[in-house]
Amino acid sequence: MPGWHNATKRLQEEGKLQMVGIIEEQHPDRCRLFMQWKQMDWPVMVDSLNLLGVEAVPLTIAIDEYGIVRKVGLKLDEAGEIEATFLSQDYAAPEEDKNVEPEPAPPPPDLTDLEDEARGGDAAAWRRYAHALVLWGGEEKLDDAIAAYRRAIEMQPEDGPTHFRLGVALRKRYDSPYRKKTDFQAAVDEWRVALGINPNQYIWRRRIQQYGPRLAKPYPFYDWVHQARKEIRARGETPLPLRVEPGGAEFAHPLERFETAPGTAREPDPQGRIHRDEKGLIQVEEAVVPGVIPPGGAVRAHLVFRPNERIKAHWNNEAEDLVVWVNPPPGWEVSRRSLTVPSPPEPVSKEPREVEFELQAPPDAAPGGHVTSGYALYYVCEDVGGTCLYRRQDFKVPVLIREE
Amino acid sequence: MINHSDWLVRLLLLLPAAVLLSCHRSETPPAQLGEGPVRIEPGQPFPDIVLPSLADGSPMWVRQFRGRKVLLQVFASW
Repeated sequence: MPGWHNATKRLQEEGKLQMVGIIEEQHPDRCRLFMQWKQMDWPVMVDSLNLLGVEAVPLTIAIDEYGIVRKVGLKLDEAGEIEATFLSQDYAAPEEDKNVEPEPAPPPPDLTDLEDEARGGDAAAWRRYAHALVLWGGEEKLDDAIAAYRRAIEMQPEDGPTHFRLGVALRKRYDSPYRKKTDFQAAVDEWRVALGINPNQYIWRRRIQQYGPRLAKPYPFYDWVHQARKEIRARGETPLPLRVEPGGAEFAHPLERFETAPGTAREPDPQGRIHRDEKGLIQVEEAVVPGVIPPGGAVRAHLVFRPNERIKAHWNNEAEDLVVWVNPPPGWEVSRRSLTVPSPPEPVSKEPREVEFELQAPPDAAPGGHVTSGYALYYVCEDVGGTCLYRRQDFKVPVLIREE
Repeated sequence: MINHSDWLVRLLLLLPAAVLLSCHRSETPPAQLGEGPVRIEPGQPFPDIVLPSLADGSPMWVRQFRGRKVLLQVFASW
C-alpha cells in the first residue's frame, strides 16, 4: 500500500484522486501505526470480520464519481497510467442513481431492534445482530455477539464465514477485559473449521498463520513494528499505541524445515521436587495453533502465565527468571525444550508472560490425541508485601492428529 | 387449512425480506452486510457496506466520497 500511496501522491494532492482503505486485519490499531509510519493519511474502514467477503489482499478497486466500480484488481505497475485509464475517463451517470454529492454514512443500527428480529428470526437475523454487536456494540457486547454467532451456527453449521467471524469475536474478547481463558484456542478452532469449509479463503487462512507454526507461514506478519517505531521517533513524533503488542509467532520468519535449538538443555526439575503452585498464584492459558494437524505436521504452542489478580499475586523479579521446560511425546520434535522469560527491571510486576514453542509430529504419528507435557518454574509473591515463593506449574499441550 | 401458527411462521419468514427492502432506501445500514460474498464487479455500484472508521470508529461508507474518483485499497499492514 505504501507503493500505491507514493505512486499517487501528486494526484491526491491535486485533488484528482481520493484514496480510501478497507483493512482486513484482526487488530486495526496495528494498521494505524503502519499508516503513521508510512505517512498515509487516507480515510480507512475496518473490516476485521471480513464482511466484504474478499478472499485475499491486497486488492485495488477503482470507483467512479457515481460509486460505480470501474476496475477491480489494479496492479501497482498500472499506477503510472491511471490518469489516462481512470481519472480522465468520462463515465456516464447511471440511470438509477445520478447523485454526485457526498452522502454521510447512516448512524449505527439500533441493537435492540436487531435483537428483536434475531429472537424471532432465522440464522441470517442472528448473523446480522452478531455483526452489529461486534461493529457497534463495544467490547462489553462481545459476550452477546459470540452467543449470537453460535445461535446462527446452530441453525446453519456449515456456514464458513460465520465460523470465521465467531473466531474474530472470540479473539477480540481474548484481547479485552472480558477475556475467558479458552477464547484464543476457541478462536483458532473456529478459523480452522471455516477454512475446512472454504480452503481458498486467504483472509481466513492468514488469521491462523499469524499465530501458527513457522513452517506454515507465508511471511512474518508484524516484524516491521520495531522499525516503524524507531523511524517515527526519529521524526520527532510519538508512535501510536498498540492495544495488544505483537509477539512470538507474529514476528517469526517462515522456515522451510523444522528447526530444533542446538545444544543440550538440562531439565531443571526432573524429579518434580519443586512445590506445585496449588493456590493458583499464576494462571496458565494454553493455545495450540492449529489444534488439528496431519501426521508430520507442525503446531505452535502459546502459553500465557498471568498473576492471579483476585489474590493480588505478582512476580518477584529479584530472583530467577521464569523457566519453561517442554517434554514432547516420543518421536516428536520441539523447537526448544527450555525457554526463559527475562524479568523486567522493577523489583515486582504483574504483567502476563508469554512463551511460544513449536512441535512437529513424526510422519508416522497415529491418528488421535497426543499430549506434550511440561512445566514452568517461577518466583511469585502473594498479595502486597506477602510471602514470595518458588513454585512449579505443570501444563499440557494437546494436539490432535487427523486421519490422512 | 391454515392455522394461526402457520401464519406466524410465514410472517417471520417474510420479515428479513421486508427488512432488506426497507434498507434499500438507506434508512438503516444495509442488511446485505456479510451475507454471502459481496459482488464487486466493473459496471456495478460498490456495495453500501457501512464499517467503523479506523480514525474514531464512526460509521463510514464509500458513498461519502460521491463526486470524486476513488481508489479503494483493501489491505492489511502485514
